[in-house]
Amino acid sequence: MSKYSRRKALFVLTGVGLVAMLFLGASPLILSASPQTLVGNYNRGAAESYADAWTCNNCTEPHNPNYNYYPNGDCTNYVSQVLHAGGYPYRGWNPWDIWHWFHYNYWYVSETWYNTPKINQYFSLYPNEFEYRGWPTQLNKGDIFLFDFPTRDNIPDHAAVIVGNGGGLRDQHTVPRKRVPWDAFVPQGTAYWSVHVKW
Amino acid sequence: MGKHRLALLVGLAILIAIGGVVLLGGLGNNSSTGEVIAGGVPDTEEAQEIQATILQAYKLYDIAGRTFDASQFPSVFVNDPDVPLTRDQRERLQEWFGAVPENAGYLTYVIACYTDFTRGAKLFEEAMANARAKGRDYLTPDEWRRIVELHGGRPPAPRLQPSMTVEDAQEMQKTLMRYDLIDVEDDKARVIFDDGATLNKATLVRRGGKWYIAGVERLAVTGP
Repeated sequence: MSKYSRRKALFVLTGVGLVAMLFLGASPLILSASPQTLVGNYNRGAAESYADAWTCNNCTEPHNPNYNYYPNGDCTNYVSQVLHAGGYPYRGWNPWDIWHWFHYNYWYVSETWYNTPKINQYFSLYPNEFEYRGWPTQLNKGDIFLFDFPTRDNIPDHAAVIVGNGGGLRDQHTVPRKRVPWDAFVPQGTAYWSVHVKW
Repeated sequence: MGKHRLALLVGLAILIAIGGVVLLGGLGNNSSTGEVIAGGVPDTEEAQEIQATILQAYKLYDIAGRTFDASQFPSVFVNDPDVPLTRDQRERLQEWFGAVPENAGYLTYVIACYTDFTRGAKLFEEAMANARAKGRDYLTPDEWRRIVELHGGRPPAPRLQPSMTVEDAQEMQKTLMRYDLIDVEDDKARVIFDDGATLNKATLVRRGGKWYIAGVERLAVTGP
């Protein structure tokens, strides 16, 4: 092998090694995740328990130190944590790809994890895993709903999770609310996307 | 070598100084929140009329969301050439209809918004009606993908169907509203208000003795 070929081989191997390290270092789950439909069993009780554990009423918003925290708008980050606590797994590796959804560490988190319009697009892309229903009263505990407040743009502004047996209550961040009626404190004329987790 | 080190230190000092100025400037900027804190709400008849107009807008949002009837919007909203749409609003119009109509103002925007909403909600309802005709109360993934595609790749929101009547919802809305500033100058008013979930800056104009909303810019989502 010539000196040039050896250098070329070394360069390629180093590149492959770096990519492999990135993937393996971030999480082994990345290797199993793909844009294909995942098959699982959403644990609504675990999702609800997590939701209740990390919010409160008339309080300083609590947050799990294992995740990022966005003090000016943590609703979707919180909803994502609830979804993951229910067993819904991370998917993919590209932070800007709306087909991917993950929080591997502080620096390596997908937009779909914390951005409300993006998570709505993500849900919409996987109709085998998420079913859009007509109204939040048709949801079960652990399901997600998104709000478009009345000074409208037809893009969701806020996210919350349904709790309580038979639904009907919500938990959320920004502002923190725990087990309030699902439509409490919501302005007149608000529209919703009601997302039932089928996964 | 000594000269190079000195130049490097000077360069670093300049960078730190610039960073400090930027940081202090950011901390001390005159944000909208600052305006709100400094503002006030006069106890005048016209301030009450302005508040009533804004509250009425919420009633019409509600009605349009339930019935798809946006015909009453011109009784509350108006296009005013002195109150241009925000860049975001122009982008939305472009996205919904492929163009921004000439002389488009807030009335145009609100009607367009509800036209787009209605289009999506009707797609959803028609698909659900077809599914029910086939004995299902849910959409198949393919049916869902189809309506998203027909709605420009955006998941459509369904029609509003609250259990509360419009009148009861309006009473509730009264309790949620908070006015931070109503500043009237001749036939124009600048208003900053929180509707319970969003902080907004509105511009109202008086025409024929009646106030109309000529623009609303959302300043922040404060959370319900």
